[in-house]
Amino acid sequence: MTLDPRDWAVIDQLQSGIAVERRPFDYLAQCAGMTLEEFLTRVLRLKREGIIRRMGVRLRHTKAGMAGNTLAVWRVAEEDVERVGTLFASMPEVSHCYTRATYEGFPYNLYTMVHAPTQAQVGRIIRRMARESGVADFVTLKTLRELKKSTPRYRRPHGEP
Amino acid sequence: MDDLDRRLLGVIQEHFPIDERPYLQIARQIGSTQVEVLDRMKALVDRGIIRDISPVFDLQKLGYCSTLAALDVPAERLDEVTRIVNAREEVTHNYLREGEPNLWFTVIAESPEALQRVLDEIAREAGCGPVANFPAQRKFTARVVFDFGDRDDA
Repeated sequence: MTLDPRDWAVIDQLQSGIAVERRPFDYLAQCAGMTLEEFLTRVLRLKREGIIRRMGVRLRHTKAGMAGNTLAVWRVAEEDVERVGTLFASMPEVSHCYTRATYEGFPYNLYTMVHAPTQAQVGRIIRRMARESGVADFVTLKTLRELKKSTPRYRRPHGEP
Repeated sequence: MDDLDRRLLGVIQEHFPIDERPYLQIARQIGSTQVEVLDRMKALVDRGIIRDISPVFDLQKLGYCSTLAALDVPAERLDEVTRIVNAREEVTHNYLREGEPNLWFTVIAESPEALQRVLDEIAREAGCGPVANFPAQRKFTARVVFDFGDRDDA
């Protein structure tokens, strides 16, 4: 899908946030310079085309009752990546499961973010992941502190009409 | 948080209605009223549980690229390096973690070259070795994990 300048106007307004009021999209449509009907039609299309991955709120993990958060990284043989990745992704406590490039001195290629109400529960989940996958070589990097979490601000590419 | 808060979060985490009156739609879905939903939402925002009400975009479809990067920072330089990393608007998340490396951050930019430039500049300013770059290759899942009992919705 090609994004036209009016789509970008919609994207721009959505990024400034949806207010907690009866008709929050009225103001955003007005700022985007279009009718509410056009605004909502364009949002629905962005959602349908997957440009909006998720229409929802962002929560603060720790305040929403998830005090245990750990990045667990696994060294998985190439031929096992499909099986292990699918297994980890099927676990409800795993929010993200990606393969990533390795780096000198850091040979782990499968990354998982694990969340639970307590750190002890996170530890148990990771031990279960190791047992069920058969992957013995892994490292856990517990989240000690969130230093920054901002909502990215995407802008219309330079030079486009 | 009580049961109504949890039902509310269960709905709006993934399916905020794209509608003239979204909070009225939410109220209908969870068996409440618009006034009550608006009050609860305001309270959840005030208490810091809701960080932000805005969509999650597919950054690649918007022409951006991203990576996960890490630096190993000695304890005595942590505050200083955190300031350097956080000051970049291309850095969207930054976490202090147990283990080595200890500082993990995500970076977005408009091209792979621009991304590399940001990492190089951070490395130069921080002065604690090269920034390790871990670009994603394959995504098995990326989703929210809070289960508020809305199993039907999962």
